Amino acid sequence: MKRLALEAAVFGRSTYLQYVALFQWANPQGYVAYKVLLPVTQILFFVELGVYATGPQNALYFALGNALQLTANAGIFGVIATVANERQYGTLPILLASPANRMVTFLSRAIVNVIDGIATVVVGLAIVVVLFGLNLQHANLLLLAICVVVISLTTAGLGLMFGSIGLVMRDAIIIANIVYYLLLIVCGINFPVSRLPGAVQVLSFALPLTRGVQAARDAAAGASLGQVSGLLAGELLVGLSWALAGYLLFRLLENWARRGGLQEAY
Amino acid sequence: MAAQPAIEARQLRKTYTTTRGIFRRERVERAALRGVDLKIAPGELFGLLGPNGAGKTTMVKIFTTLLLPSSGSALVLGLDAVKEQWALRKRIGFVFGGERGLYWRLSGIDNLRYFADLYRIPPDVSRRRISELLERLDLSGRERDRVELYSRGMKQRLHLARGLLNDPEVLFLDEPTIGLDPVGARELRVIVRELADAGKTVFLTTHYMFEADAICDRIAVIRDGAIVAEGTPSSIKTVVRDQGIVEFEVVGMPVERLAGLRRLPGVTSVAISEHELAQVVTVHCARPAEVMTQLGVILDGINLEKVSSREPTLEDAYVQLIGDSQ
Ligand SMILES: Nc1ncnc2c1ncn2[C@@H]1O[C@H](COP(=O)(O)OP(=O)(O)O)[C@@H](O)[C@H]1O
Ligand SMILES: [Mg+2]
Repeated sequence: MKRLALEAAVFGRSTYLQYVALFQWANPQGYVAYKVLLPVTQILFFVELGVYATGPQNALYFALGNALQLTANAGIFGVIATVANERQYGTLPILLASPANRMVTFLSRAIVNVIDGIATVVVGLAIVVVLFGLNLQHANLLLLAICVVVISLTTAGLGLMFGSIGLVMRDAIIIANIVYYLLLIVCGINFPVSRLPGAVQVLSFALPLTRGVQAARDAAAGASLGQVSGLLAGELLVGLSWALAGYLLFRLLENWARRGGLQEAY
Repeated sequence: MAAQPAIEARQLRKTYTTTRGIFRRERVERAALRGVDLKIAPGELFGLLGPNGAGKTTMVKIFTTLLLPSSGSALVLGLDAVKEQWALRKRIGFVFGGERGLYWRLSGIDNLRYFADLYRIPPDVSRRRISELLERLDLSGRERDRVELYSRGMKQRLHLARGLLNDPEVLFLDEPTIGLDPVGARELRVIVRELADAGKTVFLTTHYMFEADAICDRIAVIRDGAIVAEGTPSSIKTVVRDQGIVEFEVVGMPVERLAGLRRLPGVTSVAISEHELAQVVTVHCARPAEVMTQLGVILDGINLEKVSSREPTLEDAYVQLIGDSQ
């Protein structure tokens, strides 16, 4: 029990320090601008596009979807930035030569981005309420909040995979960009998944967001937890699988580094 | 030497394999360590001295569990650095040279707190130890400033504080004074010497022979992945025991006159270097006293100044040991 409390305390501080190391912006205005401008731009762009293509009655569909997809911004790019930071500062050898619990350390790299992801979606949803008149009177707000937390976790799970890839590939950010846009297309953000070709649907359901966004849309329309629990469980499972795959890749790379393969690590 | 060495290498070898070329991939092998044997006693301040590329960092990485040897074994505190890495990591500390390895946006104290967490040091212990280390390494007062505002010397002292957080029994320092100004380097050497005096085993690498001479109890000279000499600084000097040195200054002497000096029995080399208006002539020889008596005869009519003869220094030994590879 005492050991668990110690691990928790360590996890907490590690998270805080990661946050400071990553998000201590030169000026707070910069952070706010980034946190507000990015969502506004992305949401407006896809809503305009969607309305142009399908008609004004679907504006809310696009607005809500894009607001929720913003978690991927923190989850994927945030986690990659965390690892890139580690490489830039040369702190990786210190970590690798320490007796630190690898799982705790690995997961703590993403927790900041989960929190950041939640914050981003809250801003995104606020924008949708203000600009597009999203009516949340009948929404199951608590369930919607749970959905937002869940998709923030699962996109960060996918992000951990790219974090590991980022250890060996300087260009992981390019792949991450492609994946980010892939998520916009195949996860039911801008196109209903049911309209996608069957093969692509397989991909949709192997990626985070697809089930979580659906659950969030239902929650916004007033669904109960029981109605979406299957979706949320599936979403969590997908996110966990990606995180686990990322962790295994990390351990693999750690061993490879020890054999002298991963010069980048040092 | 005590029953169990603090650090031991047995026939330690490391060959790096890299691939070159994109279309016709070619494997390139590069031997960084070629069968190194070393034994370092507990409490010893041991210096591994060698030029760039000799294999120093490779050896430190193997001992600190970051790298696996190709063959041979590396033991620290009796633990195998290959197989018992988890037990070993708790008991050693290490500092790599250079500025990298700190979170620049965090304060010094936050860096230490974070690294202490990696070692799962209980909060009360870590709080006390961090404040002791800040005090000892002359960082207190600045610990809440961000690391990016630190001077080069402060960063290196913070590195050392980090390496001491888990109160390691053995400390590895890979070229710790690299890039420091002379004062900063000297301060660091004093601290390292104090750590060894307080009982820690220290394994230090350097390419400055004076650094090794100044603080190390024992030295090994590494060249091209192999140890070419080992012993106390004074015993290593015996490599060049029969190399006395005679030095003098002349002004505007024709170089041909030196030929006579070169022919003297026991003279191994005669070097000339320009020094402002004068030329400094350095004669390496077996018996300096004999050369001294012949100087006046061979260089008759030339005004010799600042004539001196001296015993060989560690630098001479180092240059001789390393020289052939350069
Ligand atoms: N990761 C690596 N891959 C290939 N060769 C390497 C690697 N690291 C070091 N070397 C080579 O091994 C030799 C020893 O390097 P190193 O241990 O860094 O020497 P030192 O620290 O004494 O300067 C050098 O020739 C270097 O080029
Ligand atoms: Mg080196």
